Amino acid sequence: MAAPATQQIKIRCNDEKEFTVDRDVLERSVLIKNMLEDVTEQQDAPIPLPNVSGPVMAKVLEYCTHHRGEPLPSADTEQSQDETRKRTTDISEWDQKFITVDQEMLFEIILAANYLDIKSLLDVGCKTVANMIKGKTPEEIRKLFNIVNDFTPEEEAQIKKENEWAEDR
Amino acid sequence: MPPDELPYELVEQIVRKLHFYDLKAVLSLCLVSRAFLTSCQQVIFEKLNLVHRSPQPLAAADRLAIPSKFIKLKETLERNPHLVQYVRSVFLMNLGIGDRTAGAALRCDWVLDNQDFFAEFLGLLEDAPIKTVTLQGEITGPEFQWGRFAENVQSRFYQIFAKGTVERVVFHNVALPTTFFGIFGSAAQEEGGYGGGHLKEVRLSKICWKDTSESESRLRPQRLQKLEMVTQPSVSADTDLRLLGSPTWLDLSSVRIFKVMLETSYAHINRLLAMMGSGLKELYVLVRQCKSGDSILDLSPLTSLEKLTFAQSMSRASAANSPIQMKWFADSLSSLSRPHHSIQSITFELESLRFFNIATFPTAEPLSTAFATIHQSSNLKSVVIRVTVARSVLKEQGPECAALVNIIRNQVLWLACLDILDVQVCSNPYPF
Repeated sequence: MAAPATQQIKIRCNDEKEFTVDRDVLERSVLIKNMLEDVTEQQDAPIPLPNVSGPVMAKVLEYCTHHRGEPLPSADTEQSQDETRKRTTDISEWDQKFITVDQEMLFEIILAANYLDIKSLLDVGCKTVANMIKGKTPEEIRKLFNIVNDFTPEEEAQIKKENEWAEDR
Repeated sequence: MPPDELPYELVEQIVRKLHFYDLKAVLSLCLVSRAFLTSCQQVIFEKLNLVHRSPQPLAAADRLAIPSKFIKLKETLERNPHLVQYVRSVFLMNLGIGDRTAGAALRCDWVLDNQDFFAEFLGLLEDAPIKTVTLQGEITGPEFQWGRFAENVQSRFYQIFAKGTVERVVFHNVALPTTFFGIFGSAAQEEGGYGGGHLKEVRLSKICWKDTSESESRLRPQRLQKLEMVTQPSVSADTDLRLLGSPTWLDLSSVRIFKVMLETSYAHINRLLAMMGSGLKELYVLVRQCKSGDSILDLSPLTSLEKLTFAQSMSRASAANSPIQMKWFADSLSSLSRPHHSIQSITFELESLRFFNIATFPTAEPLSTAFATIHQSSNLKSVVIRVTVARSVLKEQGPECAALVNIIRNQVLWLACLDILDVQVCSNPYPF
């Protein structure tokens, strides 16, 4: 007997790019999962995702497809999951390869993961940025991300003084 | 898009990840631009860790100077009251080490030698939304006597405890006056009628209660939802549990989650379970040592229990002395009242780390019988048997680990057939 067909869901990105995806893959996104649960009847119209572009969604779907079937963090285990996430510095080999993208795409993925509520992807993205920052001086961080220093020298001195106690922790 | 243009909550998440790696990195990021300032300083000032590395060698009569970093911290908080608002936790460790010339170098004895300064410091935190207070005596030595704090320090602490923001207290090896928890109750009762203010979680280990004649003051935090206790094979362990188990001391009827790590004293735990009764929803029991003659846990009062976790951690010593107690678990499990309609999930966590040996791994068959009696009258939805081994074991003995999963599944086959059994062998997430 053939296995029951997986329901296919259509989504539309902000650049009109459409994807047809297995429901369980899309349900890695808590936002979409909730949307689908609220819809009782079969809908043919694509779900609009106004905050995500096609290329970014393609990457997000690559991640969701790879991790399909893995348990989602439930509300009551959220705290311990957070604890675990905080403690675990490792990014799996596949995730590491997946997130090796240019900076523009990295931050787009983080924004999309946040909007779509995909905690594990957001986690991978934030860890990657943290990895890029660690061990660098303020000037090196500015250079890396092309950030303008908007502190006056006096403000900078004041912040250094405020944080001084923590330096020999 | 550079990270300084990300929404604030995402910057905050990145900073928190960074904090895990290295506080120095947070200090660097803090100076990059305004976009990172608040979230970085929130992390920097969130936990006031008052531990300091003492100079060595230290003579017995030496009076410890106030470490310069804490003088700087006090000055900073005095000049920048907005930073006080970021403080969420105060942490003191290795208080009152008996032999000053020995013991851990990381300690808080400077606090005891400079109590007026410390009282003033605590006074600055009057408006801080402190959620957690951790006080630890020496890890393995005589307990720290609460009375060694000067009166002005005690009263500053009481102000912090009484204000209602503190949700979690963690005490290890501290001798407390019996009136201690009354502080949480009395102030809040006067204000809003809730004993215990916002205290939601209490974690006690190796606590010693002093002045037991004063029995009027009780811990009656009606919102206390989570109680964690670690007992140790010390002289005071039985006393801790006996006193906590007395109804005149502690009202446990609001506790929903009880997490207990046992070295001994199973019988006293049964008294606590009886006091929690139908209120308890989640129970986690970690056993370190267990002998075949030990009394079982009596779960019969827990008529509303939804989630039960039994765990056994195998240290090098206990691996030899205390084999995994499947039968003890199973007998305890069988004491659940029947019919039991609320139990939904049962987990067995067996951490055997480097001592994994499939040949001597105990059979799960006693569990199968216990499950059978429960399952007939319950809504049991999930049974997880998780064996945690060292990464190196999983790497070197991968096929044996996979075989173990099959062996356990076959021993509890009828549960596997119902599709509610999940057997896992996983590696310890922490490298060692």
